[in-house]
Amino acid sequence: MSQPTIRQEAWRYADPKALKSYAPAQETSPRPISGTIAERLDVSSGSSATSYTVLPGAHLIHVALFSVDAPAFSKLSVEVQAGGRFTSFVLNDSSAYIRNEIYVELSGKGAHADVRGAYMLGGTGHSDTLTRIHHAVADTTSDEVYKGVLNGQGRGVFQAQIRVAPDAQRIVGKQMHRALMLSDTARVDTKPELEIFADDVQCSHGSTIGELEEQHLFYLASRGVPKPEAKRLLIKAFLAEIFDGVPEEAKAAIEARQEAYLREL
Amino acid sequence: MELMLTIKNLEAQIEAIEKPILKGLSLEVPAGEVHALMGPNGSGKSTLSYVLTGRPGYEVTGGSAVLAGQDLLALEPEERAAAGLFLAFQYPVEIPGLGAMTFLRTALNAQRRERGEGELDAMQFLKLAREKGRALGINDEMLKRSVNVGFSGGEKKRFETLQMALLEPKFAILDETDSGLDIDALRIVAEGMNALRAPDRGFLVITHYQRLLDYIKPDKVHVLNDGKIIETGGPELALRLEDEGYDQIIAKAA
Repeated sequence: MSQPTIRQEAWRYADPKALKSYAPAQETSPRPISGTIAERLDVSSGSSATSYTVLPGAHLIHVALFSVDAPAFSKLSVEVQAGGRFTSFVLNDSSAYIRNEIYVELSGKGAHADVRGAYMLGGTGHSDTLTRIHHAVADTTSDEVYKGVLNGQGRGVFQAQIRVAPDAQRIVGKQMHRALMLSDTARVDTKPELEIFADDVQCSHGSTIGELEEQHLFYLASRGVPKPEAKRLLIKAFLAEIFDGVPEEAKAAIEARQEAYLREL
Repeated sequence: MELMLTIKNLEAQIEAIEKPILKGLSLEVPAGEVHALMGPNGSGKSTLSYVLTGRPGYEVTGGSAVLAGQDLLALEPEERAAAGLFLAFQYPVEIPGLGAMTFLRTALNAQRRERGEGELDAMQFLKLAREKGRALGINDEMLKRSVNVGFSGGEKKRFETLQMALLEPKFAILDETDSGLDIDALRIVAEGMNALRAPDRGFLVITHYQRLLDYIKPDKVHVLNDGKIIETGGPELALRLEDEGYDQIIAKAA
């Protein structure tokens, strides 16, 4: 397989320099999940590929932390069978290019996926996220929310697709991406995609890119909160929707990362 | 008579369009008194509250404003708050994701820090907030929500009043606190404010209606029109306005 280039749509917003060092990781056979399993992945630089099959009625909670200073390429593939659940949390506060791909196949009736991600970028981070959620059969649901905070020359990419197979009816698929820009040299590229081949579906997508709101800052200032502290509070408030649901085991690690990021602003 | 708030010939404009709104406004509120500020729409009532609290977007082009000996206009908004100025917003701002309790504690501790007082820890603060909240009908459930998110109009104004009770300002401006309130909510908010009346505290109550002044008895009433105070009187002035409207007073002043 030849190296991907930014000529390819899926790699369009990648870092061309980082792509030169890319060697795809060996794909392994999927690990079956039964019962409720919480997995934590501390991603290191280089390439990795992980895959799971969530067996009927099982629940996989997957937390991936990216905090590296050299390019990383990560690929997570999950098949969710009937009545199964997949819950994904991603946190990226790296200072390098990160490619994170998540592929979800909802293959049995009642399968559900919650995909949550946050990136907090300082001077040089480049968070390139690609997600593909495939509703392969009827009566499956998905809910994806990604939020990014960008400072300095930070760069965020969010390419997300919801695909509904022919005649897969009664689907609910939601997708949302919000970015908060703290500097005018940060950049965000976002590309939501819905491919729907059924008619009884409720699918939605949304994307916002904005700054901290003046009226929020003033409300806090009028109560005596100095600007740097007000900014930190409002960034936390912005990310709260993502982090509130993080499983207890990973909470401390995620909060520590968030505090470290906020301290350096 | 110790003056709490002294405003002299204040002139201010909206920065972006250079439109003058306050055109030489003078007003004095002594410590321990409650003054009402009334006036037609567009006369500059809310602008005055924003200029005093330092909201970005307004530019002071002349005059002065002094709070208990401190030049307000030289301070940043958060320094004005720590100096003892409080504004109860006409439209309190919703902040999704920021817990009401965290917001209150951060604000109180920021002010205490600025004044060189010790911060309260989470338990001390919780006790204080519950105690002050109870008097205003604010329960724990409400304090667990995000700031103003999903609050009814009455809840928002009660939450503003709770902030005032916790921050114990020297001087509070209430900007149309009665707007959007039914009679019961109005009474709770007015009682909350009346409980804070003190010899070393002053209030400026901005309102359109006499109704609020039935609950919060003002020592003086000022009428603002086109950026200037055109008439000052006792509580009877508000009753007269209720009967006659602003037209006669404006015509007389012209």
